[in-house]
Amino acid sequence: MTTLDKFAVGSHGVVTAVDGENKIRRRLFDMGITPGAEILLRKKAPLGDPLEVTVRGYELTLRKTEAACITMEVKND
Amino acid sequence: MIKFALAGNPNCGKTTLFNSLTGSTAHVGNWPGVTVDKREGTYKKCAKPVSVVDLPGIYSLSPYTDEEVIARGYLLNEKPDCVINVVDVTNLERNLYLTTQLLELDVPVVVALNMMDALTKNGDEIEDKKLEKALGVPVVRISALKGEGLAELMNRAYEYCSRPRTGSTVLSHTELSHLIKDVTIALKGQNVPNPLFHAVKLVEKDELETKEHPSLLAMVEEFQQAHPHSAFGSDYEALVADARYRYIADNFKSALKRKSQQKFQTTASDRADKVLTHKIWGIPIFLVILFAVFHLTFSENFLYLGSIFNLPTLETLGLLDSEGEPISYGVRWLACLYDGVVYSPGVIINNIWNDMLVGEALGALQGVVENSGMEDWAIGLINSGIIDGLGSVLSFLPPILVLFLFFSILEDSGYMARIAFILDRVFRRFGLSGRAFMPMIMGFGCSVPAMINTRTLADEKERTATIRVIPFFSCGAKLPILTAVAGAIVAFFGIGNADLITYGMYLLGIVTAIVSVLLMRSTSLKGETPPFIMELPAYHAPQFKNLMLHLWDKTKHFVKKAFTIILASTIVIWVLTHFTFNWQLLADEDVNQSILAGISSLVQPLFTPMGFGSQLGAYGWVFGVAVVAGLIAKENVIATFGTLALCLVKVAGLELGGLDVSAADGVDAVQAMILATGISVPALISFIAFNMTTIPCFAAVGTAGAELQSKKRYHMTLLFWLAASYVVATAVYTVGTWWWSCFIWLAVAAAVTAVIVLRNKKAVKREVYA
Amino acid sequence: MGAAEIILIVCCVAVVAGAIAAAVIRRRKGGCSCDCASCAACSACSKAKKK
Repeated sequence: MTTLDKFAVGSHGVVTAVDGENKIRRRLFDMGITPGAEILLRKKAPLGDPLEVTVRGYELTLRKTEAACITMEVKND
Repeated sequence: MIKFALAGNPNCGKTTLFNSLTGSTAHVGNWPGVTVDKREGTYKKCAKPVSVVDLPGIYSLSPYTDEEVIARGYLLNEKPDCVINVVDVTNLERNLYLTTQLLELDVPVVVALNMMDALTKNGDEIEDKKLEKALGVPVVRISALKGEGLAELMNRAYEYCSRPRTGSTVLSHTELSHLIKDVTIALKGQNVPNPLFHAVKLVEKDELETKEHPSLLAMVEEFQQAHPHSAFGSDYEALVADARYRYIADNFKSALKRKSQQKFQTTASDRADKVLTHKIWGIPIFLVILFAVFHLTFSENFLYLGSIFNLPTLETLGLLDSEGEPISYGVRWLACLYDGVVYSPGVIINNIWNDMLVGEALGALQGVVENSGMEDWAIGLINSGIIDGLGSVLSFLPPILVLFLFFSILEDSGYMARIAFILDRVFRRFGLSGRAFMPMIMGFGCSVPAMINTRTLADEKERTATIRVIPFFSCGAKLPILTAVAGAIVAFFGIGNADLITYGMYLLGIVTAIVSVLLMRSTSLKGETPPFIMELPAYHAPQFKNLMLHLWDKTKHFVKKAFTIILASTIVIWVLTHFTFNWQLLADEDVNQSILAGISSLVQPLFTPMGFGSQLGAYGWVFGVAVVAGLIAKENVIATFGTLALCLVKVAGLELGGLDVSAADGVDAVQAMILATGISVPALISFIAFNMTTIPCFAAVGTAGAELQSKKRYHMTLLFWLAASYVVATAVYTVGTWWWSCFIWLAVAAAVTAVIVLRNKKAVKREVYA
Repeated sequence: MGAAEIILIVCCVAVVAGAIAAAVIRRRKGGCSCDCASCAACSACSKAKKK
C-alpha cells in the first residue's frame, strides 16, 4: 500500500482510499478517482511535479501533494 | 420558444456542436475553461425554431467552481425544455458521471454521443441501443466536427421534449435509497421542483442544499448517525461518488467495445505528448516554439539567411533607381519579400498589405481629396486627420492577425494545456498555479477575454493577481506601438534589429508580470496555491475552418473598432490640434497654440522621469496625448502620431530626407515624432514600456472591474497599473541613459525585498506565538 | 464653405457623437464594457443579450 505520488513512471494500481481536504477530495471524485479505479502513472513534468496519470480512459494532471491523498495498491502485472 | 440546453464535460465538443447548430462563431478552444459562460443561439431546422443554450463545461453539478454553479443555476431555474447531454464517447466513464446527475433532474434528457469519428478511427465501437436501454433516455450518435447525426439529434430531442419526465437516480440500488426517497418525499411536500435532485445533493451534504433546507439536513445527519457505512462511515459524498462510478462501470461501460484489450493504450496523441512534454526537453521545446512564433511574425531576417549567406541587396543588384525606389512594378513586389535579407512570412504579408495594397489605396485617396477643391482645413482633416490616423492603425492588421493565427493554432491543438502542465511547478514558485498560464497567454490576443477566463481560477487572490498582470502580456492593440516604435528606432537611428526589440519588449512585459506577482503574493495577496487537478485533452490537428473563422472574427472586430472608436478619436484629436482656445482655425505649423497642446503641456512634466516629458521641449506634449488617447484604445497611440505627424514635421521645418510622412505608415509617423522632439532611444523604449504596463484601454479596465467585484480591489488595481508603469518606464529610461543608475535600482530592489522578507518573518513569528 | 465641407462636418459630428453615445449606452445598461464585435456572441456579462 502506497500513495500515488510515490509511484514510478509506468506503474499502475488500484485506488483504495482518497483522503485530503474536502475541496480536493470532491474534485478527485468528480474526475473519477474513487476507490476501485485503476490508475497508471504516465509521466512526470520536467521538474518532477505535476504528474500525469491515465484514469478511466483519459489523461489527468495533478500535483504531488494532491496525489499524496490517494492511497493505492500497486498492480504491476 | 422551445429551449434546449447543451450540458457536458469541458472538451467534449459541446461548443463545436453549438456552432454547427446555431451557426454563430463562439470561441472554440481545446483547453478546459474556455467556454466560461453560456451562449445562446437558434436552431432553425426543426418544425419550429429552437433556442439553444451552450452551458459551460462541467464535470459535475456539485458547486466546486463558478461554471458548475452557473450551469446548475440555469438548469434548476430556467427550466429548459430538454437537456442535450453531450458525451465524449472516447472518454465514456467520466462523462457519464455527469449524466447520472443530470438524470436526477425532472427534465427530458437526450444523450448525444459525440466524437464518433474519433472512436471509429481508433477501431472501437459503441452499442448505443444498449446504452439507451440502460440509461432510460434517447441516445444519439453524432460527430459535431464532421456535422454528422446533428439533424437526427435535434429531431429526436424535439420529439422527446414534449413528454414530461421525472428524475431517476442510479443510487436507488444503494444503501442510501431509503434516505433519498424520504427526503424526496419531504421536498415534494414542500413543493420544491426537481425534488429528487435536491434530495441526492442534500444527502451528499452539498453546501448549496444544506443552506436552503437546514431542517432536512437534520434528517440526513440523523440517518448518518444511525447507519454508519462500513467503508465510508458518514462520508456520504464519497459514498455517492463511488456508487455512481460503480454503477457506470457495472452497467454502461460494457456498451463500449474497445478494439484493443489493453488497459492503458498509447495513442498517437500520447506519442506526440512524450516529446512535447519531455522531462528534459519539454521546456526548451516550448521556448523554441514561442520564439519561432515571434520570428515568423516579426523577423526581418528570416532564418538569418541574409547574414549567413551575405545576400546582395536590391541596391547592389541594380534594382533600385537613383532615389532608392524600385525600378519596376515587379521589383516592388520583390521588395516585399527580399532586400539582402529574406523577410519572414509575417513581414512579407505586412509589406504587401502596406506597400502594395493599403498604401496605394490610401495614397490615391489622399490625392483625390487634395485635388477636390475643398477648403484647406477640410483637406487637412480628411487627409492627415482621418486617413493618416486611421491608416496608421490599419497598417498593423497583418501582424495582429498572423500572431493571432499562431496562438489559435497552439490553443486549438491542445498544446496550451500541456504547457500549463509543464510550467505548473515554475508558476508555483510565484504563488500561482499552472492554470493561470492560459489566461495570461490569451492576454497576448486581447486582455478582455483573458480576464474573463480567469474564472477558472477558484482562488480569489490568485485571480486578482492574474487579472492585474494580464495587461502586461501585450495585447494585439499594443502591437502597433511596439512595432512602429521599434521599426522607427531601426530606421531612424540605424540601431538594432526590429524583431529583437519587439521580442525584448514582450519579454519585458513578462518579466514585469513575474516580478509583480511575486510582490503581490508576498504582500497584499498572500495565500495558498490552489489545487491543480486538470484534464489533459488529447492533441488534435487544428481545424482549418475553425482557424479561418477565428481570424475572420478577429478581423471584423478590428475593423469595426477602427472605423468607430479610433475614427472618432482621430477626428477629435485633429480638431483639438487645429483650433486655439478661442476656436480660431490654425495652420499645421501652429499646432503648439492648439487646445490639445495647451492641455497636454500641463501634464507633460509628469512624464519627465520617463524621458518623454519636459525634456522634449515644445512638442513633447504629443507623447502625453498619445498615452491619454491610448486609454480609449491602445491603437490610438499610433493613430495619434499618425494624425499629428504632418503637423509636427511642418512645424519642426526639418528635412524629411526620404520620409514620406503622408503615406499613413505607423513607422514613419513615429519617425516624424523623433524628428520633431529629439527624443532619445532609451526614452522611446521607455515609452513602449510605459504603454505596455500602464492602465489598459477602457474596455479592459471595465472588464477588470466587473471580474474583481470589489471596489477596493478595483481601485488598488488601477493604482497598481499606474505605479507599475511609472516605475518600469523610469527604470528603463534612467538605466538606458545613465547605465550606472542600474546600481541604484538594484539597491532599491534589494531594500524592498529585505523589508518584505523581514515583515513576513515577523508575521510568521506572530502566528506561531498567537 | 461649400457643400462638401458641410457634409464633412456633419459626418464627423455624427461619428464622434455616435461613438460617445454608444459608450454611454453601454455604461448605462451596465452590460459589457467590451468593444467586441457583437453582444450576442459575447460571454462577458450575464446582462448582455438576454431573451
